[in-house]
Amino acid sequence: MSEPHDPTLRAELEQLARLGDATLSAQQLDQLCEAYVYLEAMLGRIPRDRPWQDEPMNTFRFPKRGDER
Amino acid sequence: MTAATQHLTIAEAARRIQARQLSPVELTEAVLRWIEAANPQLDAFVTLLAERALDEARQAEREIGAGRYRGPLHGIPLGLKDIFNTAGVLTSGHSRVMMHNVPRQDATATARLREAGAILVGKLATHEFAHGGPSFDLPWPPARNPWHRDHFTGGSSSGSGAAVAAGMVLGALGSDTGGSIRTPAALSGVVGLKPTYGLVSRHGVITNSYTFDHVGPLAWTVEDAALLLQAIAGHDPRDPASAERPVADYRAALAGGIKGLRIGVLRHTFEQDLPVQAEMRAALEAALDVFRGLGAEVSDARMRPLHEYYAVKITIAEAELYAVHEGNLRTRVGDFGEDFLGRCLPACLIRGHDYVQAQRERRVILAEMEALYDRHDVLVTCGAAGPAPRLDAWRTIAFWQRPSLTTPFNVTGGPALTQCMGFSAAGLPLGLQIAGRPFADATVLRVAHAYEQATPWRRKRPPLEPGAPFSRQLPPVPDPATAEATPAQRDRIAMFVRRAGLTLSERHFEQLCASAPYLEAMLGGLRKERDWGLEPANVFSFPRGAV
Repeated sequence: MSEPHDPTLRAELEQLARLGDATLSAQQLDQLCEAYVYLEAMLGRIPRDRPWQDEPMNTFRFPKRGDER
Repeated sequence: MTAATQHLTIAEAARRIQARQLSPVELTEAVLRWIEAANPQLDAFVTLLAERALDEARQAEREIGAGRYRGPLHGIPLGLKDIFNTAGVLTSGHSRVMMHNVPRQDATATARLREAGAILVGKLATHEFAHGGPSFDLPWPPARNPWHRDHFTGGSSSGSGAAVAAGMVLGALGSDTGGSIRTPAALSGVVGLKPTYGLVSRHGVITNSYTFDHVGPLAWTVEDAALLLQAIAGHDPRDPASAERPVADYRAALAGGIKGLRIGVLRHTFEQDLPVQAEMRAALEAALDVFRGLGAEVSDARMRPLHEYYAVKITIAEAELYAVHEGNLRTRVGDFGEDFLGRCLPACLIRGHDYVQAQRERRVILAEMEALYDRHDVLVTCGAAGPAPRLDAWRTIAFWQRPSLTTPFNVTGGPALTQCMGFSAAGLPLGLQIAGRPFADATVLRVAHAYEQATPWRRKRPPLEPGAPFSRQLPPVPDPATAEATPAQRDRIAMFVRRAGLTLSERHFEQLCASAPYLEAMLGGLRKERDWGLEPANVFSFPRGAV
């Protein structure tokens, strides 16, 4: 059995799920709370103070001439 | 300026410089004198580079004298929106956040103008980070409209529009993420071209949105815009969006007229989606008559309602803008202007899947445009909803409430140009917009040039009187719109703010609560059933040449 979850976090995640049109059972919400701790750690590993010059890897490009239909 | 140099176009100045009838030093000195007289009324410059410009002019004069004429921009005084990196020169984004930022290298577009022999006279006012404005709480005042100083220039390339219209520079570069070249061009009565996405490098230009930023020229005539585009267009390996295509001869493409060209009128955009003022509509109808008189085939065309493009653009662009500034928003939010924050902060409500859905919708839009491009060589609509409003009339909430006539063409990525199509009863310019299929920039320029040649609008300049009495007092920062959010909605917004790590004043929080319903309506429209195989418009691919 996992540790009881932070009630504030649980309430927030429930609210977020509802915003995404998802109605979760208590069990699903438990599962989300468990996973969220790891997700939050991952998000924390993504640097958020990059120079503006750092482009994303999926920058939009028109097809190269000859690539288009 | 003297009669010999007053309000020269780039093309005319270049002709005289090449023929050695005009010295670049003489021209630059005249421009600097005019800036000294006129700029105190317009606040178009953030940084004036008088000494440096004169040094560059002397260098140009020596080169031309030695027979090393580089082309039509050699010895021509130009300006840059203050988001273009300039080595050793302040590049502020018109923001307290970067008010001491001096880059070490030029942006690619800056470097290309220098290679063409242009003289950089100064850095021009912009809305904060090419987005928020007009603002009255920044380290520099907003630019004023040369046709009426109490009116808005349009933005975000506000100083570029004002300086070109007033003849303080012969041309300028701006950037356009949702209309930021075309709106100041429309409201200031000049030509502004948003080239096809990828045609001009964005490298070294402070990012607003990676997906929608375009670099392009503002000039007095279409020919001048073509000359500027010629100098800056072309592949740049340092910009991952840069297109590897041959560059057309844009000046040569102006010739030939528009007989038989198919012009699609996007009537629903200015009659139903965003009804424009009566004098705007009358001017557009008159412009259509001009096109008919030139032999073009004019018929109505229909694209999606404006608000659908707006939802896609806002969702993607505000999320990207927020990501660019996330660190500073967390640690020094008070250093941003309030108008910028009123646009950017609501992005903390946009979630990852909203961004992806908007990118998928963009792909659908790009595919839909093909049928329209097959039927019409260019599309026309108004360049703005009316003439320039007063500076003190602006309210940030309007950014969320109304779509824009320019934004669809940031989503399509094709070229779009605005130019003067007459004047309001109060003497303010009215803007015409012409858009085309991606990489048909030459066609758009040709149509605009034909219209310009057939109309008298280029004969009139703003009625500036240097030394005339003038109050420099700025309007107060407007109070945020009243938020009509319920306690539950406020709690939800507060949760997003907390999770984003933001610390907001009560005033900023109210501003956010007021705009949230408009953003949520846009996001709701993007959440629809889609085939799983529908890819986003931005898909990862290995860089060209890397595999």
